[in-house]
Order: sequence, then structure tokens, then C-alpha cells
Amino acid sequence: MKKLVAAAAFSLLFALPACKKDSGPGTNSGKMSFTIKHTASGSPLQFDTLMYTNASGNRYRVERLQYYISDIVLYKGGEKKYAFSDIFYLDARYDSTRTFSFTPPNGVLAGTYDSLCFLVGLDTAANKSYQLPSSLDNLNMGWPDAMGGGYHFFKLEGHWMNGSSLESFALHVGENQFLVHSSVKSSFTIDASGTMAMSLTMDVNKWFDGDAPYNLSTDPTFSMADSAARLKLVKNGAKVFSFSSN
Amino acid sequence: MKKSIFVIVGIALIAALNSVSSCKKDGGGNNTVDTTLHLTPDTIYSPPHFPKPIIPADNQPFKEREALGRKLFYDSMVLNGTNSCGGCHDPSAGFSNLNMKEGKPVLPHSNLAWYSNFLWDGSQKGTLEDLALFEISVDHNVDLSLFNNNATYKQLFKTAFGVDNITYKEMSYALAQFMRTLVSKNTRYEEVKMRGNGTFTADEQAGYNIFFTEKGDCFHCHINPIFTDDQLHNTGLDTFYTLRVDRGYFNISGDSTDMGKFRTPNLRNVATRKFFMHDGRFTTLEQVVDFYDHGMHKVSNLDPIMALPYKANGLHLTTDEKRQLIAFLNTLTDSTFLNNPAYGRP
Repeated sequence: MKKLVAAAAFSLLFALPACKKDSGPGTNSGKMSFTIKHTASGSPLQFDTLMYTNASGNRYRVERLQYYISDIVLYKGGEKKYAFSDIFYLDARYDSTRTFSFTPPNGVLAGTYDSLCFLVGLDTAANKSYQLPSSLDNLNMGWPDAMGGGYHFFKLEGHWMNGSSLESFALHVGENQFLVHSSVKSSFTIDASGTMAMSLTMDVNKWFDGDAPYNLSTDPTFSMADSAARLKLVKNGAKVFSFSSN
Repeated sequence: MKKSIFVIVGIALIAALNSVSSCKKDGGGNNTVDTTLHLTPDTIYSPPHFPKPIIPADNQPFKEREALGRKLFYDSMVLNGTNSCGGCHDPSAGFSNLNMKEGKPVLPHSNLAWYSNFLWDGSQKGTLEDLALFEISVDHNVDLSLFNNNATYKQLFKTAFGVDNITYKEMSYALAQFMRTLVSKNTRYEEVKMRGNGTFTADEQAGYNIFFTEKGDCFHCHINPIFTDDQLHNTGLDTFYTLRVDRGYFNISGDSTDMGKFRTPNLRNVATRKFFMHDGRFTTLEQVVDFYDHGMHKVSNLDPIMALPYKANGLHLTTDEKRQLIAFLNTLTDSTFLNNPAYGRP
């Protein structure tokens, strides 16, 4: 069962203070809805199919893509306006987790905003073993205490062609110093009711093809125990999301 | 058969009243149902950091139903006199089998309240009630007339479910109630690592480090603290799948990517088991560790997490490391579970 993780109780304990607002609390009670699409090589992501090629020429397929999105922040006029501490678990295989929403307790002001930022992963307060509600999904994302504890922020697993040999890869990111700060620098609008329905796209290729090119032929194919590999993924993860065109 | 409907008006109220009202039900066959059942509520213990156990709203735990399920579990009449559930799911082996029956080892019955996928090939999904219904009505084709002609069972089912005519539904519900009570929670691992009481030996600690790092990479499927992820994986047992039994979930889905995928077994009490893997091909933990060390087959749908880079066909542990890993696996034995008189034959 793949459920959206809406850690309400947790949020109460560790809620980030909302950023300074420009004209007091919003008076609306709209819902902030997000739909996440996943693509690779310009097409909707299909699991288990060896059909994608990154910039390094690695032909690969995806078999597992799981991650958290948390600490969503809205920017307006270059300033941080709202920050939400809600945590969401996504398993790209399952529709049920690819759409999530929350209702800001104090509403948000209508208007046009500059950009959206969020974490792929969990902030320091949340990233402690057993901190999240005990669901099978959250336990499955556990980062072992023997390796620092907390949770996997992100898992991307599959196979790739190494010459004529089919090899596997497991790119996992976790631990506080490897938090992925992702941003979408494009304007969006929140209407008078405070409602926002946003569609984002994660381009899986960009985990390989960002500012720190990741080549499965030369970089580690398993990243958990390799901080340099994880650092590359953190850098690339900053730009894997964009607003969906439709 | 129409489904029974039990309206349970709040556990708190139930606890306060120590009874539960059951509305009219079933209508199937010639069942008639008492309007009021006097049942004793129970709770399923959920160990620290476990998810909430999966319990259907219409089969909340009651001691009378659990006791009936326990009696059924050990009664050979359920399997038409040939065996009983407990005959294969032996408590001393962590509710797995001491002897191979029909060429298939059984998965251990412990902590089933947290599963949604059942049987090695994942062919049964849903709740324990669904699993039990399949087992008695399809897999074993239990002869209900034996029970409907048995005065003791007639009374027990009347008390527990309010029915005069015993059907597969009530029988599966009772079995599910008992199986849900089989909770393993007192391993040495939990004592040391979760409760902070005592320390591991050097070998146990080294094995723990192998298990919970990419050295062994066991933890990605045998997740802490449940020691199963309730999912299906191809772990490279076979290159060819000539036998149907080796094809796993492919037999259900027909999808080639599911070839050879089997459910992750719970490792609690793994050291007490006599047979390992879906076909019992291994009979010692040493054989299992050797397989993951150098015996895996790099098939096209091998779970990605199974193939560490530059280590063909397995982990390539040293002899000492293999011994240490097994030392850790032994810390997952829960003697209080294995010897719990409440779980044994009534």
C-alpha cells in the first residue's frame, strides 16, 4: 500500500515558523495541490524498460524511484513568504503518491509568486530514525543507524548497459549533509481563495546530467557508502524539477 | 454468499461495555444470528516502531474468536484429518515447517498482522482474513460439514460469531484472529539495539554492521524492525525457470519482469528454520549466506539492490564475515515467542 505521508502530528512538533508575510495572515483557506510527473529522455517515465540514455551515454532503465518532498517554500518579490513543514512520500510507480495536497493553516495571500523551493529529503529535525510515523513506506526508507541513521531522502534504482553487460545501479541519498535543495524558478499564481494546483515534472535524466555529470561507467553505481557520489546527486537534484507544461 | 456485517460502535465503547452488538448478518444459506454477542475485546500488541497492524473493521480482535482460531489452527479436522495448520507451521521453528510437505516450505507465521502480500509467490493479497479464506476454501477445501455436525464447534462459533451454520467466512475470520496474535517482539536484537539492554558480542556487532551497511546490504529488503518489506524480489536464485514453482509472481501476473520474484521472508527466528527459500533448497543458514556470497545469478530482472558493483554473483565476504553475519542473524531469535504457551496447541 502506497500512501501519501502527511505527518500532521509530526508537523505540529517540528513546524517551521512561517516566513514573514507581507500583509499579515492570509484570510483564505485554499488547498495547495501538487501533482508530480516523471519523465526521462523527454517521455513519461516507463518502469522496467531499457529505453533511456543520459548525457554520458549510459543506456538505462528505472525500477525504483522513491523520495520525500518536504519543507515547501514560496517566494515572492525575491523574499521567502511562506514555508510549510509538511512531508510527503512519493513512489513514482504509484499514482496514489504522485498527487498530494495540504491546506495551510493560516491561508496564503493571493498573487503571483516568483519561485518554489522544497527539499528532496527531510530536514534535520525530521531526519532521525523512527521520527516519522511508522508506516511500511517510512520504514522502507530508513537509513540504517549503522550508517548514520535517519531516512533515505531519495532512491533511484535500475539497470544499465555496461558494454554488452547488464549491470545494476542504486543511487541513494541520505544523511543531513546531503539534503537536496530543489527549486523551480518560475512564476505561479495563487488565486483569491488561496488555492493552488501545481503540476511539477521530475526529469530523471537530470539526476545524471546536471552541474555534476554522473556517468555510471566511471562514477559509483552504488552511492550509499560514497559521499562524493552522493554530493554529485545533491548538486544535480537541485534542478531536476520544473513546472509541467500541461 | 452475502457478506456478514458487524457494526462495531467504537472500541472505547466496546471496552467500556465489554460487549459488542452485532447487527443482523449474512442472510447466506440458513444462517440466523444472535442480535447480541458478548465478546471480550483484545488488542494486538504493536512493537515499538511497527506500523499499525492491519485489522479489518469487521473482525476486530476478540478473545473468544482468537481462542476459536487457535483451536482450529491445531485441529486436524480443518485439513480433513490429514494434518493441521500447526502441523506445518510449527511453533518451535518460528511457525515454519520442520519437515517438507508437498515439496514446499511454508513461510513463518509471525507478525502477519503487518502483511498485505502472502505466500512465497505473492499470490494472495489483502488481509489475513483473505489469506485464511483462500487456505481453507481453495487450497485445502475444508469439509464444513465436519464442523457443522460437531456440537463443540457449533457452540464455539455460535458464541464467537452468532451463527448457527458455520461457513468459510467465520472459519477464516477465526483463524485470522489467532494468527494476528502471533507477534514476535523480544529478540536479542531488540533487547540490545532498541532497548539498550546489554551489548552484542564482537561477532554479533560485526554481523550487525554487515547486515545494516552496503557490505551485506540485507537491510534494504529485510527492513528494520520488521525484517521484511512485504514486497517481491528476484534475488538471483535461478537462471532458468523450468519449474513452475521457481517462476514466482510471474505465475500470477504473466509479466516477464516478475519472473522469479518471491516475497521477502521475515527474518525473525530465521535461525530456527529448517528450510530456506521458496523451494527449501537450502537447509542451513550457512548455505543461505554462501548463496548471497557467491551463488547469485545475474538475471535480467535481478533486483538492482542485489548486485553490488564489481562483485559478481554476490557479496564476497570472508569466512569470518560470514560467521559474523550468521551470529547477527541468531540475535533475531525470539525465545519468548517460540515458547509462548498462548501460541501453542490448546
